[in-house]
Amino acid sequence: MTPTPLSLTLFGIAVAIYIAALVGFLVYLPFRDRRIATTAVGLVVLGWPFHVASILTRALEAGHWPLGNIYEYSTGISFVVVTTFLVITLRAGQRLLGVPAMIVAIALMAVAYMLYVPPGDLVPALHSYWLTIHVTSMATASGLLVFSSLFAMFFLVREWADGYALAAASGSSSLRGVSAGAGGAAVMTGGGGGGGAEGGFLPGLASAFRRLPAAATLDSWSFRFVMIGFPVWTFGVMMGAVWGEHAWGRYWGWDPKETFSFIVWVVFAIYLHARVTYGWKGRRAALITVIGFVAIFADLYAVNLWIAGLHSYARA
Amino acid sequence: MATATAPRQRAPRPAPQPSRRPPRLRSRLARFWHQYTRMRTAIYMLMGVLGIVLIGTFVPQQFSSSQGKVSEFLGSHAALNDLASHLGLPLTSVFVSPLFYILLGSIYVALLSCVLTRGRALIVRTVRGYPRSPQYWGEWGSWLFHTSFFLLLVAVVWGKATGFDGIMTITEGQRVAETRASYDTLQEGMLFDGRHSGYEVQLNRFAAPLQANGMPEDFVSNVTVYDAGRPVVTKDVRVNDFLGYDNVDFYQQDYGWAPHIVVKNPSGEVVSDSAAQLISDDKTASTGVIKVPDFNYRMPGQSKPTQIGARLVLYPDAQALPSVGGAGNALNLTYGPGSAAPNNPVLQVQLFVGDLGINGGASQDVFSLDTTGMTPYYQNAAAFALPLHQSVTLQLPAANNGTANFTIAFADLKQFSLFHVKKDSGVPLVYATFVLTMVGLLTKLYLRPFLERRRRARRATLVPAAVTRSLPEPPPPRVREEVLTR
Repeated sequence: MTPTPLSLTLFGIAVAIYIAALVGFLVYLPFRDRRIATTAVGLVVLGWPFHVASILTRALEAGHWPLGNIYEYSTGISFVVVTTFLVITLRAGQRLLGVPAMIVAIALMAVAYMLYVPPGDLVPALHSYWLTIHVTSMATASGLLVFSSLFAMFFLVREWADGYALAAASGSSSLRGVSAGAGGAAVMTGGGGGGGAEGGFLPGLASAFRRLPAAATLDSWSFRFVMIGFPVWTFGVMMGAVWGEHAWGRYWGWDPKETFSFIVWVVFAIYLHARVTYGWKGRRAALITVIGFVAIFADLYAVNLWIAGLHSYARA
Repeated sequence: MATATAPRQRAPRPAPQPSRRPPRLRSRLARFWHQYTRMRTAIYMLMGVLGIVLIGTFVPQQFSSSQGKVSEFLGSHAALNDLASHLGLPLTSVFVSPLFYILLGSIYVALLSCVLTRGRALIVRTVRGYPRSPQYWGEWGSWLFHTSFFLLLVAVVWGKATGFDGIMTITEGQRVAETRASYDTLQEGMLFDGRHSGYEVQLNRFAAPLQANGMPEDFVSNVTVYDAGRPVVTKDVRVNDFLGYDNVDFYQQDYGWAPHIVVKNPSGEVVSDSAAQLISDDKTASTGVIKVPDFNYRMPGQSKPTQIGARLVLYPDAQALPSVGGAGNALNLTYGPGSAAPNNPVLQVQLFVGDLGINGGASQDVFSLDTTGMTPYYQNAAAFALPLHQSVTLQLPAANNGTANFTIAFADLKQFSLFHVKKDSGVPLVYATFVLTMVGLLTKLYLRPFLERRRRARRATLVPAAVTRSLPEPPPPRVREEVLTR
């Protein structure tokens, strides 16, 4: 038995703290006590240095940039997700985002753990500084684009909740918090005023979701993250092409991993075009980023684990 | 793709030319063109590309997957593949299928139209001295982004058409010229002038040091380039460090074992003295063949000279398999694979005697042996083992019921390197388009909002504070203020 590497111990501590934070965010959801949310954010802030330390010690143990296999890569994306969440929540107070962000971060780390490989040398194909640039941009872009999808999913539930409240309001004019005269516009910008008075699962859910920022705000956040993530993804794919040319003598070969990165790129390119040209906002735009979300994770895991190609070394 | 920001109404042509086509057809064409160059159509076409590309990820492809997987797929989905092939989309080669090319071509035609229309509009705006608004720079960014994709296509096509792409194998100590005949496989572009550089490349040494876990730590080919007979460059070629000389690039792609086998015929004449290149997946067991067409011996009663050939299996780290009868000597043992390190190299030789079938002119595969005209040397085509630096003496029938001895020796174990060799002058251009793409994208996505923000900030400082107070609340600068903190 070899002793557990320090990086893995730190990884475990970080995950444990993140899980505690997620529990906090989940408890905050129904109880709406601000102190709970603050504690949960505090826990994320506490876990983050362990996460960083885990990545750094892993780099020292392995002796290379710590994005050389699927364990390291998943941990890296999870790091981007947590960091982005912290930046958003500390600057703009999006505490409810903690629920999906921490779910994604913890899920990534769980997969990382399941596919754990001890620190070791890289296969020869990965001995390159292009690797550093390429995989770092891809991991960063994945983490950022995930947020565009998370905000889009928030948008979808918020929109549903608004519609639900509106329908309820037109059904019974006595419902508080919705001005019937102002119609949809008031609902869209109404913030967290909605009901909660009536019982039942769906009304409760709708009123909980109506505490999310206004749908238009969520939509615009989603767009922002595409704006940030898309150029990074573009850059990462290009650097991958440069690396491919350098290592194998071809900048593009329709290898499954390349193909999937192209798919993700096209999905978000369609998003940008549809939005800029046709003003596709809201639901349709949100659905595209959700497709992008699926594509990113298919690219990350499905391609590595089930489809063999030149990128298969990332499996080990 | 033109619709985004291009002027909605087309400028009327300066002088309407009389057309020979009936007006209805013309307007129909115009309507078609309008529909075709719409963003909506482009998005549909991109979705089509997505669909094809998705098929390409999940169905094994001819050029990137193993042949076995491709045949397996074709075997189990023959009808489906037939149908798709009729529609121009053979499922195991979607990236070179007619449908894919047609779709890409259509996108590029629309893209070209977009780039030209928008470019013209931008130039007109520039010439007429319209104000340099943030939106103006955003337009340029978008134009650059889209133009770069057109240039990318040009770079890719030009590079492939004027270059070539091939596979070359070189055994340690061997010197091979960069000429058409030296390639195992070679694809030359349509516009390639056919002139290969002709310089020679010698593989001095190959090394693949192994890690503790048996995986290669690195693989390195030490090569020397001889131009006009003189050594000009010596270099270690490895996966991420290629050899480039005279616009031709050599990439380390694979390697294998090359046992050096010496065959002497019954007259004692050396009839084969070369290294056979063996192929393998995991390097612990490699397979290949050796053929000796000019054996220079004729068995009694035979009309044709005798040829010999053998199928070879090499275990670099052979492990003797346990056998009940025990072993008299190493030649009678049976072996199995061990590690990839050459600790105990043993060849298993399955020998055949007869007609190799080469003289008929049929194409010959260097990795397979056609035994239809041959007889196994041993019963049931049993193989014998031949450890490194040993030789075996075997008998063939000779005149007067006598026997004639011939020998096969495993003289040396070398390695060979498999190089991906290519010439592609389009690569620098491809990289240049990458730069253009990024500049265009960043201009569109960031420079424009940045200029807008600066302009707003400048306006705000120009307005005296007293006035600001009396003015109605300005609209919130999107997003951040709208976020509800709770």
